[in-house]
Amino acid sequence: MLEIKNLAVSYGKNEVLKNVNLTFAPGMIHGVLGINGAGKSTLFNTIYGFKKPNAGSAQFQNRTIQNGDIGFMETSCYFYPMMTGFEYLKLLGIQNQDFDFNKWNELFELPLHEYVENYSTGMKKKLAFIGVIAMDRPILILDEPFNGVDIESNEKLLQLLIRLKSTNKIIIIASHIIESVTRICDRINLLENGIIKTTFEKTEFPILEKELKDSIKLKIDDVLEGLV
Amino acid sequence: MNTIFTFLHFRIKQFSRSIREIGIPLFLILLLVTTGLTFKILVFLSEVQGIEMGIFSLVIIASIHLARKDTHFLKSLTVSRPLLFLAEYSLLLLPVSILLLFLGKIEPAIYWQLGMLPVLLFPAGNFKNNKIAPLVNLDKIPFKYFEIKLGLRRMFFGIVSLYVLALGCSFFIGTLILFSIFLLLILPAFFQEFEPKEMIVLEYEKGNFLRNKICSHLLIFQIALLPHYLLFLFYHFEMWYLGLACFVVLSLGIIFNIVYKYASYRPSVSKIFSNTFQTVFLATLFMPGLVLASIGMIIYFWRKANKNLVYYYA
Repeated sequence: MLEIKNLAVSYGKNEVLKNVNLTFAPGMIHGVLGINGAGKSTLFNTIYGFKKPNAGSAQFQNRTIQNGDIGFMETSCYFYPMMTGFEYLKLLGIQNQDFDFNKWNELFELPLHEYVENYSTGMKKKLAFIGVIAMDRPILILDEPFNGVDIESNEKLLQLLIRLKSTNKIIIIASHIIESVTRICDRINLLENGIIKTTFEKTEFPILEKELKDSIKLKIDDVLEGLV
Repeated sequence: MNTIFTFLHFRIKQFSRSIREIGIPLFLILLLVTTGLTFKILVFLSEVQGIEMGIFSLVIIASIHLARKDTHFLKSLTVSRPLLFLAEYSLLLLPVSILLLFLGKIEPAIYWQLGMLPVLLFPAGNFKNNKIAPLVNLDKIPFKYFEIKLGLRRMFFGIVSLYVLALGCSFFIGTLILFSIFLLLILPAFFQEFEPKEMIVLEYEKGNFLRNKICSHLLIFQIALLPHYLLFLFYHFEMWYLGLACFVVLSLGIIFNIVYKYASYRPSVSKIFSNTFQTVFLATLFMPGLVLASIGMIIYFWRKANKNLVYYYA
């Protein structure tokens, strides 16, 4: 179990997360939804240790979370320069001797012996995804995993995530593609202005979709009235 | 014209932000060091001819122009790009021109200011080509030396040819010194990129991260240079202290680049924000009487690197 307790994070005077409390159970896919600037990436960066919280903590199995607990795929994947895809995967899978790179790569057919710099955005996403799997960590945090990925690979990613659930991992996803999130997630947390506004269970997803669509329509109508 | 002024204004703002990033106390130290350098430049300028200044200016601006990374952004502007480059480079060259005019060197000042003009005929940012396939298989080098792999892949032919050339010319007394200076200048290219968190964690968890990294890199660099030291001693044994000086200075350079990298490290950032301190460090190595300052910088950044790593990874 991953527990986020009373987490507060700020950038200077700007309070981005305010007393966030969340629980992520293993064997489930958890979604985190929110508009740009809602605090999703800050939440992930804080759990991962990129950002120190002002207050609160992240506890995994009743102890402070450690570096080796999480496999994190960031929104914009950064790779060390002049490194081939194969070298990248070999490095991440160094503690996972059973990991079969070539077998996993059959899924996405990446040119593993080329420099990662030469990959397209979608290819980089897929490589980062295999890298996260190669690390074999109990917690997977995926920030916008479907961005820039083609339709076929998107479907493969979804299927793969559903299968990964059975390995009892904690999987946390943030995405703007609501259809993908509602399809695979078991629980969705709606983040708004740094606080968890509502948590939706699978049966409540239609309500969530309707709520989101209605609120967006309301905003559009309000702003565009008289403009378009 | 408005766009050009806005752009130049933006550049000046960027410069003032860099000073703020460095911090006023450190900026003052930097100023002191550069004052020494400026004095040397003044002595040099009092002797040069106009045409030499023109060539000097051309080389400097060409190196900036061909390595520009903002060409895609500039294409989105409606302003004439050569005009924009002209305004930017003129502003950049202006302080030295003023210095030359102050010294009464009118002709060199004109050459200095106009020497860069041919650069405007060439498209900017065409120098770097990342679409080169791996030229050398470096699988034999262990992963923990990824900085060495990166540096070798980036400059393989340059490094190898100069390495062989320096070996071949080792009977000249200055070869080792020149080769050491070349290595000191290219060292930052090995260590200016930050690795993703996972790559640090793998080594950090073994303990003594910084010390182990420095020791292993010193060892591998100096072993690679061993033939040069041996040949130097073979040909010029009576000048053994020069070989020792090269060994010490290169070791200091390697240590500094590693500690500076981790002192500047921030997760989610891909490379060192500013190379100012690397330049200052080199200046302290080359200026007599300031070698102690270089050791002081190593100690300062070592502590900072340790604090930084503890903050993110302990």
